[in-house]
Amino acid sequence: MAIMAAAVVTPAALAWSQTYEQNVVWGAGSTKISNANSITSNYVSFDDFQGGLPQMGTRLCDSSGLNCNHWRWSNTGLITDERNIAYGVASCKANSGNNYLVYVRYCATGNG
Amino acid sequence: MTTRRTRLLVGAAALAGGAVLAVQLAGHGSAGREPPQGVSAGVSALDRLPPAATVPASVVRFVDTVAPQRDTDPQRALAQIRKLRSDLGRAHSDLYAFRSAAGAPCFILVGQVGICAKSATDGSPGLHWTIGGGTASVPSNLVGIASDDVRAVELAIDGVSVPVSLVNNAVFAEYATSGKNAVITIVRKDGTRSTVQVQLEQPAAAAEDLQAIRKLLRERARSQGQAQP
Repeated sequence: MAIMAAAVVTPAALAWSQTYEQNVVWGAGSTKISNANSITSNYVSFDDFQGGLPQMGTRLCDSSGLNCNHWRWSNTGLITDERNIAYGVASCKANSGNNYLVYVRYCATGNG
Repeated sequence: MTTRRTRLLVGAAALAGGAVLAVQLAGHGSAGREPPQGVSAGVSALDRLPPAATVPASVVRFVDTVAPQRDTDPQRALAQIRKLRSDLGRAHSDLYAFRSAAGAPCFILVGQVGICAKSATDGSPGLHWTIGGGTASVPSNLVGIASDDVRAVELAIDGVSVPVSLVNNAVFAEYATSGKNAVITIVRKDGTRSTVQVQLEQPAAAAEDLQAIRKLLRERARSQGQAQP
């Protein structure tokens, strides 16, 4: 599958950044979280490689992972979450209602 | 009118629940025709409005980040960026957009979210959208770029209609963060309609997801510890 060989282009020139997921195929409800840090952005890049317009989401949580803001969803990636948190984790997720697989190019977060 | 309509279910709409896209085609004149893909019918506000003279630093960062990933020169994108809406919602956010080299609109609602599709043909017919978000002090919202063939966008949260504005191809609606299910309806000028369903997934459920992940990590660490001499 040609799409699997695509290069991952993640945000550069951030004081701290982490690509916490890349080049995977996700079913409905799959999710991943980043390491904890000060966060000023979260990027979610994906493709509907099988069609069907699957949806992906982004959100931020405090470092306990228990106090989170609300998911932000779209069926067109790249999504950039412009919210921030003084110290916490970023997440990306395939919507639990998806009926098609989604190809996650990357989920990346950072500050700076 | 209803009896004359032909209903065409696209993609996953035949499957129950979830991220469903359905298109209803009006019986007169357009029956059997699918709507243009994504926003390929055009986003004229990106030509009609003047480029923004100045933009906030966060918009520059957005362009510098997303434009190269869409094979677009950031300087060129910044020179062409438009402010489509101002003072939106409780956060009083502005909405800026530029057109990528591939012709897709890339937009940012300052302080909240940005979207940059690979192609104008991506996404729901007539609307590149994002929904949800918000913080403790800012409600959730629907924001998007509609193509020129769209007359209106409707939003229902848990079955209750929410007002949606459509100005300069830019769509905005704000709603209480407690919503669980959203239905976005895209109404085109030819009378055809598309609907998109979104499970909004409340933070309580999201916290459960994280707790499950943490439990998994703890169990993994425990099993690795036991495996060592």
